[in-house]
Amino acid sequence: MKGCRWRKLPFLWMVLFLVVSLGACTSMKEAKKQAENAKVPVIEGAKYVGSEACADCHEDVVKDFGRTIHGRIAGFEVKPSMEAEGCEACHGPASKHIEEEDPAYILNPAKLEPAQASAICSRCHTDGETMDWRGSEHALNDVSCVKCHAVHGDKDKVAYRDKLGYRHKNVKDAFLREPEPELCFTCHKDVMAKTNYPNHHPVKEGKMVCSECHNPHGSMVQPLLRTDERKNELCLHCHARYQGPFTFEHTPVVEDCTICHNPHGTVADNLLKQNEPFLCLQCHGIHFHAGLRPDTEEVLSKPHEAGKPTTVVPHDSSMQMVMMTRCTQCHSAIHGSDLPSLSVPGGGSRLTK
Amino acid sequence: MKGHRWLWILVISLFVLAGVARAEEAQRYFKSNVSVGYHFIGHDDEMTKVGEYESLSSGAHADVNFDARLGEFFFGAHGFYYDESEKEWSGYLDFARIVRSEYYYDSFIHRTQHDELFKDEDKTSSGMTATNPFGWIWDAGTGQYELEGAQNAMHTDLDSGKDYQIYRTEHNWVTKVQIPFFPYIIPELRIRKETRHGWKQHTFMAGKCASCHVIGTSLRVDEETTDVTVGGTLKYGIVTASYFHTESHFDNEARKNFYQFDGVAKGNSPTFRSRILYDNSYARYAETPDVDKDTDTFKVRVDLPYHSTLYGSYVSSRVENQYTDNDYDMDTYFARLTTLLMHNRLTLTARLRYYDIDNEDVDVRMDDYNIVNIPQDTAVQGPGYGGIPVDYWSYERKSALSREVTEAGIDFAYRLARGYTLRGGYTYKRVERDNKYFKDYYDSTLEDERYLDDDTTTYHIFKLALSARPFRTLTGRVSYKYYHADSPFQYWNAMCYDGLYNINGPGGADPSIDPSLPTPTPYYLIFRSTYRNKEASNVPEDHHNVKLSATWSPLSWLSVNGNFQYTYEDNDDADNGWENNSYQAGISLWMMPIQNFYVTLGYDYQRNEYEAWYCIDLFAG
Repeated sequence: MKGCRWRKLPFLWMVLFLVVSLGACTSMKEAKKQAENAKVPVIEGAKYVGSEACADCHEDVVKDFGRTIHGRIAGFEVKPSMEAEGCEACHGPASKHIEEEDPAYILNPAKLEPAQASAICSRCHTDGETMDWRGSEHALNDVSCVKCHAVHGDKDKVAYRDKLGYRHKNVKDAFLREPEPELCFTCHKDVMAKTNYPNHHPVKEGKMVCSECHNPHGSMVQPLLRTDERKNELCLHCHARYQGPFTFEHTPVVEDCTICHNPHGTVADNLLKQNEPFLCLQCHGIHFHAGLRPDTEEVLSKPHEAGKPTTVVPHDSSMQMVMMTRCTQCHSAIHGSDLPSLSVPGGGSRLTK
Repeated sequence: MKGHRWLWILVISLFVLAGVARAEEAQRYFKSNVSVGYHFIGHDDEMTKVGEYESLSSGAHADVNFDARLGEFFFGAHGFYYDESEKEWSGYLDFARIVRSEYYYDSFIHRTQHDELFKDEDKTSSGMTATNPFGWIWDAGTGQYELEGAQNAMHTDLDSGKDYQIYRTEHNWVTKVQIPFFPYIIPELRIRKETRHGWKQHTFMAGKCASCHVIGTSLRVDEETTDVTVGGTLKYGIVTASYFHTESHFDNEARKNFYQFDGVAKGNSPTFRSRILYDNSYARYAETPDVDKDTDTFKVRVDLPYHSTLYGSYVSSRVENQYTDNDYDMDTYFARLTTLLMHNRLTLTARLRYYDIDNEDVDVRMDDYNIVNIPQDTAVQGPGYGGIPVDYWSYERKSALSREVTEAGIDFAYRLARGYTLRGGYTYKRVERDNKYFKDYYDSTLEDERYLDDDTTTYHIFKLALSARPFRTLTGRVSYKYYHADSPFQYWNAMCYDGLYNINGPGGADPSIDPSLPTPTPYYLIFRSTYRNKEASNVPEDHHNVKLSATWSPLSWLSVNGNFQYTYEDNDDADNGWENNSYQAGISLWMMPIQNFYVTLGYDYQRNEYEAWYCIDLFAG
């Protein structure tokens, strides 16, 4: 990669951001407030009254709220620009709602436009995996935060299998309305079907969840993959034995794992898009025994008879042998190797050892 | 370790005591949940694919949860036990939101299977006679007896009764600290440890002539991956920035695998004469190297005025193979600007991504191995003795991994009306691979896989989608995606059909060959990639994808979903005429006739049709 002009600008992006950030921090006080309140409707004439007032009517919600993460938030965690804590931090000033007893005078994220509802959450949730939420796939498709998260508290999980019969992986549920993967399968039915194929990642067995590979809050790598680098690095996070870099490479392996594999599930073994050898034969010519007839005993036991072909006869049955052999029986180091293959031609790069 | 354990107990005790002391005047609660059950697993002896992740034994299982608060001290734990290998537990501690720590562990077994090895007919050696029933032949060239033909004629599973399974565990521990008097910076420590232990089947060729006479043997899996991440997040006003440094170490603790590549067990005829590098020596095989990876991740988000957000990241990583010291560096840049226009009706996003992977060149020296000379297989150059020094095949390997990738795109979402959103986007992507010379042999006359085109692929990706909610009970979405790739990824030395009748490489005539076959006979052809000069690929040049889905929920306890997807892909750029037609259609029904009683029914149909020209190389040996 010599001569790459980009290398001369390794921190261009960061410098750009810092300049913008510093400028914004120092000279746009009003803009700060505007930015953090982006898209959130304002209840004209309402004032903040404190969460205790809410408990008078919404006792059922407030009762267990203190046990949740949101209920435990300390004052120092809240941004200085936030005008309230507790219920009103998300629902806005409640005085008018209390006076009028009218739900029209309180912010209810479930009834707001998706972008507005998410903007309430984005006042605080700008870090970690929510950093790239704005402009992400789900945000653009009107999937708001409250479509997946139950903000007032976690749901009790008693049954270890969900409504689909999939066992829960009891990871931190982050206020999910339903456990994964059931929640994701509400929309992604085609993926749900693939997790039932004969070969699949252990999603339905409860040993993996969608969010281990996907970041539903946004990613630079589509489709919402949980990596900040290229796609393969995500796979290599668990399948580190194929990380290499190897001396003898298999070019599609370093190009993109999904050229050969479908991670959601396949009929073929090893999450391959097709069974061997058909997958391999799409890029490679059939070689070696492909040209041999299966009745090699007859052929090899009668060598040098005039008019008898010894081998290499393009015969109808000659395909049987190669079609019934998996390429990786011999090319077992198909993901790459540091050990040269058995024979020299090819420079040892045939990935057999 | 013992000292560390006491230190931990002391620290945790202090936290508990501090919490309890304050609990007198604060809230306290304890909430627990216990669920127990018994599962029955049925068995039969039918030949079916192994249940890779399902538990195989009946038994009791339990699920326990508790959450508690003592003053400002919050803690909780969860445990799940299914069987000895399948269990998980987790816990959290939260001290006044100043220290937040979470731990998670789970384990399971991945059961694999014995692959069915190719079953060939037993063969009779041409060297077998009544006086030489084992086919021993004296080879004047090598000065030793060789065994022709009958050896390893059948597949051999050396561990046919062994259970192949991998026991996998994962520990995750995350701790954050937020100091009340300076809450803007949140330091964070993450530790992840993953282990895999067990056995799996491994197949390999026992000798040069054994491509269909593979040996199936057991391979020890004893791997451990440790990721340690330290860093922090700055949140101040409209700026959120984070920096994390991760050190990952993949450690393969399994012993190295060796096999005796016996020089006797090989073919005698010139074609099948051994050309293996490991003649008569113990050689390593199936080696998984230790790998180290260091990653620095820097991200910034700025929530700008006018409903705009700027997000950017820079990731730099270095991956090193600890066995060979071969490494690659990767730098990734990303920026995204999102804004709302037209009174929140239009969301507009522009993004730019660039990454650069730089993998080292490798000097591949064949003379480091056992044999000195390569027997030639041509009748012209002799019946397979000596001749070419093995170093003839040495070369400098340029990595196909090295590349520069640039991606720029724009996306929009336009709210046509309440419940109706139009979504679209365009992405330009350019992949510049640095594998112009995949192999650069030191002997310029050897052109095997040497001259490849400089390889650049350009993508133009379009997508459009409409989501609608015409009624409260009905939602639907239709989408279309198209992309075109100029010069998509493909293999240059794939097929040879064009050279079938015009091979001008070294070859030799076999007197027994059918005279009707084209000449020169392929039997003795030195068949290298230089003669396979036609391209093949299984990735598309043009891709079309249409998706439809609709969900109808007429009642609170009934929901029906239907989805359909069609994909058409083809590649006219490569020479194998690759084409793919895929259909997928599914319907699912969900019912909850009474509380906590669910019925889910689903049917999915998928059909994939791939079409590609195969090339049958006319040669053997």
